[in-house]
This record gives sequence, structure tokens and C-alpha cells, in this order.
Amino acid sequence: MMLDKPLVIAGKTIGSRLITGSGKYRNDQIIKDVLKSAECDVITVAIRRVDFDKPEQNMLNYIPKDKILLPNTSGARTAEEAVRIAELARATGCGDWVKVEVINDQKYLLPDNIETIKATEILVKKGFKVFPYMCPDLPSARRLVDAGAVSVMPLGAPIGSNRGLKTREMVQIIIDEIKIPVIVDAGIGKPSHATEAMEMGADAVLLNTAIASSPDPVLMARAFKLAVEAGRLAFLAGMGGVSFSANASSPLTGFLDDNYKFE
Amino acid sequence: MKVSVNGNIMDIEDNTSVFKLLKDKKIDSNTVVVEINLDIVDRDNYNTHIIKPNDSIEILRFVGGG
Repeated sequence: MMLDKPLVIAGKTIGSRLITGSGKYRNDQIIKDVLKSAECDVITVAIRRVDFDKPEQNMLNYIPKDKILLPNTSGARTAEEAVRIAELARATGCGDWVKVEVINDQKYLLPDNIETIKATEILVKKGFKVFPYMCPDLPSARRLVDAGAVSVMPLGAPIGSNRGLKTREMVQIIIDEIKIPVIVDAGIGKPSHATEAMEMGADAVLLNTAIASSPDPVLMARAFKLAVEAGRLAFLAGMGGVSFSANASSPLTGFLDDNYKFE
Repeated sequence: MKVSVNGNIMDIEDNTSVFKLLKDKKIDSNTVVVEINLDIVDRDNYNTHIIKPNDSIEILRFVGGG
């Protein structure tokens, strides 16, 4: 059996091709349980104001120290705001990985590719390892690669929608043409969506709502872990041919009347 | 003196350091990042950085996100 090449991003070897978010959980303890169940290595986080009514509350207490934090620039509407948030994240000492998320559309939360490219150019020059969240179009993906992004993260469907890979064709083009790791991010709602993305050749998937909104997030995290592995194995194995008509699984019997007239 | 902290106007004593402000709010300084007038204050300088009148202070930390 062909062994998989490890996923290497920004010089780091990542064991799991499932990246999870930390948002939307009822309490922080669930995050810890989900991470254990999902066995992922990278987790996204956001930056917000401290709640002075709960000064001791610190979500990081529930994230094992061996996990890699991927802070996002959620909240940013412009490249300038994304850069500001990235600098704040780095100042915490968590490292220089950053997911650039620049959104000025409140209805669909679709990322602004132009501002995303601008932010990526600036942040790469400042030494960040940039993971840009983008609307899947190939020219923008190419600009992100040229800007020095370490990955591109095309969306499957609007954030939190659980609708699956509505942008499938465009994502497939990016997977086929872009040589740096492609991580499908947003819209994945079911494990089968994650499997689909991996079968298509995505290097990893990122999802949050699909796990957090399930009545049993810990069990759903396990389902996603297996789904990503299944999709990756299928991609490595290679799919068989697809046809409109049937291809019998067993040859003609020989012992049944070969003169039978089929319709 | 009046300063803005996380979007709210507050009264604090003159010559309050960042570290003291965090301590008064019962915040562990290792768990936050502090920005004053859009400049990030280095954690090593929390003790020595004195807050000035009308400073706009943001005290931020990591929270859940996707």
C-alpha cells in the first residue's frame, strides 16, 4: 500500500489533515474533548476583547500545548485591519501563523479576495506564514501564491451554512492547478463533504460549525476524523472508471442457459 | 484621569502602569495582548509602560473562532 506523504506546511509536518475551529461551543471544556476526539493538530482561534466580567476565563487552558494555534483575522473588513489583528495575534507569542480572513459582506460572510491578497502581501513581508481564506477563483489563488502564502483556503459554501461543496468545480480547478497546499475551508457540514473534498485531492479541510452545531460534537469530531482519512486514502488509491451503463461484478455464469434472450 | 478601555470610558489613577491596570481587573498579564493608541505594548514592558490621559486601550485575548 502506498504510504501517504506527510502534510508539510510552512516547514511544519502536520499529522492530521483535519483542522478544526474553536468557535460556537457551549463551553470551553467541549473544545478539549473535541480536539481529543478529532485528533487534529491545528486549531483556529480568534482575537477579541477580554470580558471584564469573566477575567479569569481563558480558552487556551482547554487547548493542549502541543496543538498548533492558527489565529484568524476575523472581524477585519480591510487589509489594514487584518494586518492589525495579525500583529496582535503574533504579539501573544503563539507563533507567526495567521489565517487571513477579510470579510466586508455580513450576509454571506464571503471573503474579499482583493483585500485578502493585499493583506497577504503585507503580512508575508512582515514574516508571517499566511493562510488566506478566499473565494475560489484561480487567478486570485495564483496571486496569493505569488504573494508568498503558504497555503490557499478556498471556501466550499458560506461560513456556518453546513451546505457542503457548493463551489466544487472551482475548488477542483484550484486543487488541480495550485502547487502549494490547498485547504478547503467553510461550508463543510457533514463528514461526507469532508471525504468529498479529500477525494478531490484537497490537502486538508478546515471546519468548525459542522462539529460545534452537532448535538454530539465529540462523536461528530470522531466522524470527521475518519471521514478525512477515508477521503485521503481513496484519493491515494485512485478512483475506478465511471460509466453510464453497468459493468457486471461477475462474468456470465456458463451453467445457466446462454441462449436466454434478454430484452 | 479618563481613558478608554475596550471601548468604555473609565476613570483610573494617574501613573497607572499597564500591569497595574490588568491586576486591578484581575487579568493574568500572560494571557492577553494590550494595545494602546493602536500600538502594541510589549509584554516585557507592562510594568514600566505608564498609561496617559485619553489613552485608548484595548485588552484582547484569544477566543473561539473558525
